[in-house]
Amino acid sequence: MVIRESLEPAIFSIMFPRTAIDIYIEIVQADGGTRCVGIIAASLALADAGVPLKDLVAGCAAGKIDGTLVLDLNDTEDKCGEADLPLAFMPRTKEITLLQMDGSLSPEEFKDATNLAITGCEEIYEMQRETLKKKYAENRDEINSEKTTTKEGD
Amino acid sequence: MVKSAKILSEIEQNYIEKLVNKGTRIDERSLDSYRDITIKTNVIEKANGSADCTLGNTRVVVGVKLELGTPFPDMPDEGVVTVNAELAPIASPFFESGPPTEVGIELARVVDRGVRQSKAVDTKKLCILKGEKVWIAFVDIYALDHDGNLIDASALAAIAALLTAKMPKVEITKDKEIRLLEETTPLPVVDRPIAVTLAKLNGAIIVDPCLKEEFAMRGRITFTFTEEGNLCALQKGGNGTFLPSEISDAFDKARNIASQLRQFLPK
Repeated sequence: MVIRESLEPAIFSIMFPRTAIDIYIEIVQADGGTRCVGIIAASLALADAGVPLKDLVAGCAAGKIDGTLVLDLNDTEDKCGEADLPLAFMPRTKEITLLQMDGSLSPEEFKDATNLAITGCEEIYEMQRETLKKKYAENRDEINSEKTTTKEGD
Repeated sequence: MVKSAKILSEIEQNYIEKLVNKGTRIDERSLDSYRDITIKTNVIEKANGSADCTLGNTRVVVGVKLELGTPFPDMPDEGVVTVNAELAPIASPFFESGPPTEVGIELARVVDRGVRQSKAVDTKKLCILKGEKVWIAFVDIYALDHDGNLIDASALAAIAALLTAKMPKVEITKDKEIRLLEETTPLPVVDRPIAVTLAKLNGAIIVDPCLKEEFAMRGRITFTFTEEGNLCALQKGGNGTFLPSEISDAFDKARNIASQLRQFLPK
């Protein structure tokens, strides 16, 4: 449900009246941050499917271990740490689409943790963009090579 | 939520949005004001603890029931607190009887997280025989009337019910049998977490949305604060988005309100 709510704001659903978009996320191995990774993968899959999006949604968690703020908790850190704050973010519009927290954070820590998670999201966002670009670059190369082979055939 | 969104007419949506832009609401509140709160405790005789909370027209009853059970293997010396929510048709035409819906599950989880993460109940004191017998506290939320912001009303009722809950004293016999005594002692509650929900409506942040505002809103965010003023749980809901600056404003507002709301709780 939270994943749906974190992706829905990115989709131009107005362009798909009377349409349902089903997204299936399969966690192959869980070691913390599954929610965020699910969002990252799902937004890329939406883009890959050609669904018009306002922006890619990037996700990343910040947390607190032993009083220190950290980025991207693994399973052990999540269970033994003092706080976990998953966040999903659309960097182009600077909109937060998912935000949850459990644990204990002071007001300053909360603000720092949110900013930290946003920085993490921005980093992941760049990787998402690169991945998409790479895919289309490969497609273009493939099409170009096909063209040349057909020409040779003529 | 999808179903309920159909209920609000476009004209009403526009009206609510326009009012918010003018700094007022359909029930004539200001954007930052909460509805009237009443909390009555010990309303259910048979429960170990109970509370009846109203928030304007929203009304929720919470019952705390204690049962003896076995602890989780990874926490052998700690009792268990679990929260469940029942959204019966009596509360709203949008609720149906049957298995819990997304709304009900989210409500229970947000309240549960607030109680659990604030460590409001000293679960170590619920242990009777390490690794064998502990008290399990079932916190059951029953919505009676839904006029928006069930989360805050439920969280208030839940902590009020826990604060006034009594647990039977026990006696352990030589052959490790447990006998319940007539005498009771208060449930060991050490913190009073408060949940504050804010909604984003037409770019403005409003506190404690009523039902129609919930239909009109895009996003919602619930902060839960401990008595010390630390954040212990947070949940964003709905299809809307928040800018980082809005989150930070909402956080400050919610923190302020939380300390005011705490006055309504039993000590």
